[in-house]
Amino acid sequence: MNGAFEMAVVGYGMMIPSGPAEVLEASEYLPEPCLAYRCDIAKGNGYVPQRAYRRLGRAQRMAIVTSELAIENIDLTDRAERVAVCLGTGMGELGQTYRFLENMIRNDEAHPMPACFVNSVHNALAAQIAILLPCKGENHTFVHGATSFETALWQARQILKQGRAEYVLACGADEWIDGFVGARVGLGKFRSVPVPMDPMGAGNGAAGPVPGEGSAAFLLGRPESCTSRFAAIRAVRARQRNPLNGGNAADSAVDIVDKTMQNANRSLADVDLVILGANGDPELDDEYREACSALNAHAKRPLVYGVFKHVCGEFATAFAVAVALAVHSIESGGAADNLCILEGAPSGPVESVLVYNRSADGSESACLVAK
Amino acid sequence: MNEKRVVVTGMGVVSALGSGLDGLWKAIREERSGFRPLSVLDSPRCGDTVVGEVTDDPTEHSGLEAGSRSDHLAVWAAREAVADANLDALEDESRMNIGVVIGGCTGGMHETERYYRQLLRQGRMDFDLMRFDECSGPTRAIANTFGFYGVQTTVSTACSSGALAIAMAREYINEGEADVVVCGGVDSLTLLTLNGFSSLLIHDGTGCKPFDAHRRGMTLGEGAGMLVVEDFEHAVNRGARIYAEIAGAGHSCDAHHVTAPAPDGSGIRAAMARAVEDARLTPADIQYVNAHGTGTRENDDAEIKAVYALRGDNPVPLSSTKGYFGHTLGASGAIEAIVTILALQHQEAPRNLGMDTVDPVFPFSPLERTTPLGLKAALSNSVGFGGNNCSLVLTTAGNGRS
Repeated sequence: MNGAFEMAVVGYGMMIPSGPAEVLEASEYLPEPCLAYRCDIAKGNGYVPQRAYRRLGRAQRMAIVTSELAIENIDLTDRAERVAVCLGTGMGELGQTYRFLENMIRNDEAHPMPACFVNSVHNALAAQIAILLPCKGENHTFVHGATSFETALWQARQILKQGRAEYVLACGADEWIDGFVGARVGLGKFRSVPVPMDPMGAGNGAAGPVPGEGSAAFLLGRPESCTSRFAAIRAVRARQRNPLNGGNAADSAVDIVDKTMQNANRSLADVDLVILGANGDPELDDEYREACSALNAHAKRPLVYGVFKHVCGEFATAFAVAVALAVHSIESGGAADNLCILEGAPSGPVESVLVYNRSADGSESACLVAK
Repeated sequence: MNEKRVVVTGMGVVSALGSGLDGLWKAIREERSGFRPLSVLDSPRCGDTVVGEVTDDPTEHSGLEAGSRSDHLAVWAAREAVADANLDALEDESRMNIGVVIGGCTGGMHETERYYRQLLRQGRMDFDLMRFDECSGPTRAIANTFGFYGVQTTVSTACSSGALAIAMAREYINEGEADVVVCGGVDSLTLLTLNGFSSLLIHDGTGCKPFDAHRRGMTLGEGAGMLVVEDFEHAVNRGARIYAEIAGAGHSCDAHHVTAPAPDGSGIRAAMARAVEDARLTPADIQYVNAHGTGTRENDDAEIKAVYALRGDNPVPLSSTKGYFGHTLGASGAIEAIVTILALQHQEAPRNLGMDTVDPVFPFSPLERTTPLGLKAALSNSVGFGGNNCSLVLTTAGNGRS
């Protein structure tokens, strides 16, 4: 982003797993038992007419529920044409895709399931938001792994800045299925040791991330057009790490955070809380520790860090959950309950939160949310 | 509105008509279709169907050691575009800041299907097949192959993915996030899409007939279209050849139905109108429309109404080029943008191949033969599932906004 341009968070919603990770037993899809965090999507019943809701897959339902939550205090009835949708998802509707595939394979392509095929396209989530809420402005879907939601935020900013919409619904959503988890366990991307996730914790011997799912959505508008807001997204940046960004975690973290704060016309020293995307991967956790040390030195004071993936697990658009926790922290004035603060505590009301993520896929992102 | 001028300085393409820009245009001038019987997939139900299949093995042309079929197609086309734009001549730091924005729908589905077939039928898990399953695979493959570490993202809005990727690349340049971006779209044939579209009764396994009175649906294709888009000043300063300007982009969402466009064409019309306005042109300035024109009743009906509404009783010359290479899904917006640019370059609009008799309810007929036109500005339409529409205004160099 060039130049400061903030987006007011006029409404937001979040759906994350409400309990501990469940144990998945080895099966034809899973080579070994493992843990996974699962959302109770029945909690979303009532937000969407049941006839429409039951035709949808899990990721679609999560995205629609959080989107409905984000707009529930705003009357958009006569403004649907001026509400755009920008959605990020790492894998889209895995469940519906797999239902179609399994049926196709087991039945030698007889008796296909067209409804599942229609739901399997990655933009089915954003399309259903557009139809059901409704939101009849532009509609974008980004599917770039761990920076999918960040790109959706960037596009939302462009749309608002250029006056192409009055509001933008920015949403991140991802789900998991046994086959996806099994393949990732087989590739070593999720661990199979059934030990609870303890990002950057010490002592439990955790070795790797645990799959999860969830969704968060934000109704964003231009500040001058909004009579009230929960917070503002002041800047967001995302990139793939490369030799130009610094050869180590410390340098690259300082670089991207610096650029983010410059875009926001803010100083790192003013940040009250930093939410990290650490997920228990030992190598990544070490990189986060290096990054934190470097950020403390850059801010010239120890910052307060919190982690959150121990409640929702690891998934591509978990960054959206982090941003929602940042907004909630600002709304309440204190660190959100779902955050695990690593050390210390905010010295006063939380008014400025930096979200920082670095992923095993080589991506890195930062976002400043402020009052 | 975008304030910087963004131009196309390189292109590369792979489709059922083969690889390379020259081969593509030659086939179009010869009015030759690339449809042939399906051979790359083993389908008990769709084995007799005709598709737009890439017949050469993409693994032999990409230079990749491993990847999905989509990865190989994407890098193959990107090689031509990168060489065409002479990006190797850039200084190392400039090269590293080149962005990559790719659109696609199927990602590694070609390999995912094989994984699940082995899993469900033999109980065997070949995890290597799932190594490249994500939609972002082709984007990363291009970035890593050429060492491009600038802005990077992947767009998936069904059949408008490629066009939206081009529009997104233009936005990145306008915002100063990049001077050069490799953008485009890719998709490969999969059993999922073949059976999926067939189950919706909108796949014509004999070869699509866009806008024809007896059209029966789309015909799947595969391929990749890659463009190097660049800040105009940057291109001029380095002496790059400029093919065309991406003068405008317009988006809309029908929010009508998950598969069918709004029947009155209002969504498509909105995207075209916004693109024309973004280009600071008027509808009268548009001299050719490369239609999405899939050959389905719903799409062609809606799109003809939309285009007619653009110019009324002075309809603009229009053709769909899906009769040449099929509906390449996420690649279509990019491949067809390339076709449109070639039309501008050669001052000829392609024939609407596949149409024998225009639907009599249409107010005008698409082009029935390749037609010489004094072309300066053209529209390329893309219409996706979920009502995601994107139109691009492409102009000859020097005829865009200034």
